[in-house]
Amino acid sequence: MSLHLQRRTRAVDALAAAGIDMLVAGRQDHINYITGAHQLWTAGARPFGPVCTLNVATGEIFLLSTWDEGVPEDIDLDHLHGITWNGAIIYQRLAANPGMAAAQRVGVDAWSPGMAGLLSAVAPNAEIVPADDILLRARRTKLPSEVDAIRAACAVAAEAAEAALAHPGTDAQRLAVGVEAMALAGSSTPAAEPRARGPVVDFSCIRFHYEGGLGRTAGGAPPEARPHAALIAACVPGATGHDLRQAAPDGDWLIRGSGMGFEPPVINPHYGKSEVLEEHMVLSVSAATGAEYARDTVLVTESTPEILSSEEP
Amino acid sequence: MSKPLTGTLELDVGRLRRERYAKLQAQMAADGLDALVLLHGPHVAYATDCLPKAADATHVSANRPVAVVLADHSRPCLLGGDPDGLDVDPHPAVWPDIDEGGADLGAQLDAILGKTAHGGRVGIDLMTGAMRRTGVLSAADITDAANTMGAVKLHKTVDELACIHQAQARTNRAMATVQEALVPGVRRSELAAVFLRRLREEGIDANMIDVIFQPMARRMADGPRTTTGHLAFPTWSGDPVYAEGDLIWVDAGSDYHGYASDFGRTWVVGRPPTPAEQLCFERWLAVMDASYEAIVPGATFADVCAAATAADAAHQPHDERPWMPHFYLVHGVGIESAEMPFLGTDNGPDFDAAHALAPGMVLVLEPAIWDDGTGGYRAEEIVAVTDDGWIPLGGGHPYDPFEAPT
Repeated sequence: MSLHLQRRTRAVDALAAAGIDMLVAGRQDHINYITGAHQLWTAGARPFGPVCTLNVATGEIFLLSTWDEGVPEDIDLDHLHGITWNGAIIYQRLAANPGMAAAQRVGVDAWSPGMAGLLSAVAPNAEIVPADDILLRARRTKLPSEVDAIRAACAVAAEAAEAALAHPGTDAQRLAVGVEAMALAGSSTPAAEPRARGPVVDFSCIRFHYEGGLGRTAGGAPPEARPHAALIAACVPGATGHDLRQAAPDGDWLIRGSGMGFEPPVINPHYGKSEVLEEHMVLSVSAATGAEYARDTVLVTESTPEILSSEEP
Repeated sequence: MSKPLTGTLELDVGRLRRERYAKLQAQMAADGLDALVLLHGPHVAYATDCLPKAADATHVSANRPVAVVLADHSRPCLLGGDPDGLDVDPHPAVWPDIDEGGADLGAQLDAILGKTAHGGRVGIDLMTGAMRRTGVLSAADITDAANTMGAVKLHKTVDELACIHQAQARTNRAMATVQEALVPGVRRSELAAVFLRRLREEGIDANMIDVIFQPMARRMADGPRTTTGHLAFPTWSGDPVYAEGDLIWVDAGSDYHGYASDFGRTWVVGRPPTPAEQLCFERWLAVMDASYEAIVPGATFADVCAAATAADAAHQPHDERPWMPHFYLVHGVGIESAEMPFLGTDNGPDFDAAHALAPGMVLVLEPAIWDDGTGGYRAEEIVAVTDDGWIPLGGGHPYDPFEAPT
């Protein structure tokens, strides 16, 4: 089964278990996870709107896309909705969506007063409930092909970091050559904002939906002595947020999920004490002590964590 | 009627902030709001000047700053973000996407809003699932902030125009270098690399859309299938290698101090345009000239659409309008890459007849000419409506390899 259909199965199972009848998704990462469609990347979070609907019982999907370019074959042209500027058309489409009128629970991945009013009108019997947590829970552990995609994205980000570290110029110049190298290596879309500040660089990209990234300090310690080394070693199944705090260095640090972008769990000095790591999670692990900063993308395995971002540079 | 831009549009950051905040306060009063709670990045920037990050949506939303504007308060509150140098009341960061962060945000809002949190009229633009699960603002009388934000951003201040002008001028300069790199055998990724590097060299660190260099099939039937039966543009197109004679439609948008540019041009790889391609360009120029002529304060959107349509009517046996049916003749630009005003959309003729141009509106004209079998011409230009006509923004950019007839 193709990767996007494997992912969709996970999402459908999780939504069904939570009693959701219809999903109305507006976040591009959720839409990518479920549909596998390649749509234009834009920076920044969009306002909430109904970009994709999923009928949990039948699996029927409607996707906002004026063309079938980049859309997997399992979503037919007659299940694509062209872009519209007209609120009445959005209403009509949702109202005509089989299953909406009878839905008891409509899950949404964000919410606004205007959209809540619209959804209540087209699904008058339904409770409108947040479903972002259900989807993110399903996305938390990665399939083998997802890990491969993340590893490939990490290699692209490493090219950027290497170019920026090797460049003798100003921070701005090093950022410029970093994003140039990243595009040449296969991604013109950043995950986080790229960073080059003094000896510190951090690059990440979204490549074919998946994020890879790493951070380094020029002239820094060897891998086993980097600021985040103990944190990485502590990323084993069953480790709690509390355990990770014990392993953390003095200074800034963050562990968070990494997959189709930034994902939960978020574990830092303030949040995530009761989170529990699981095998097959992929995490971004970063820490800074003094002037040295390091970040890697790490796969939680049944034994030693595997670093997916190459150790060079 | 056009007036050339005299002098330079210089950004005065202090004035930008003051004028926007005053407009926001006035609009809140008109809308009967006691407070605004803003999470959408461009809205936060409008209220506080804390600029949105040009990063993936998941990263931008994870620990995004939140702006709170209280009626009759002299400055906004900013939760998280970087308050250094801003005229804001700083508050600790929250992570509104995770439940612990939602609870933190709820507690901070209760403290900031005081009595307003209990029955006050609060406009909000977005709630995350975590905010819903943790009951944020559950005791307030909440309403959508969309109307308030839509009203304040529709007519730009002079400093907003300056930002758009700067964004466009810098994008233009970066694209001039990219076009030099467009030779047979080059890949899309190589052009993107040149563009992203040059943008940063122009002092722009916010690229807002994955830059589009779309090779256009010469016949619609050879391109992607569409819901409109018309053109597919701009699509995700992977990493094509361009060959001599390929027709490339270019679209890019970057951001200067929170304001977007919008670059559109048609390029031909490695050779001059054919006479049939050149004719498409000349039809496009005629549509632009007619549109420019119609742009005056008080003209309805329908007036401009009618002028544009009439200019190409002789070439339209099926009475099609000279722009892509899924888009528009004109869209606005500002803190969003496409915002009101929209002219010629699927909102229909009644909408276009009911809305009129006014000073301070910024218009991106993007007619598109298509001659099936030949291909087509599409480009974009930005103007600002003035008291008596319009001024161009961005300083202009050549149409190479096409040449305007003398």
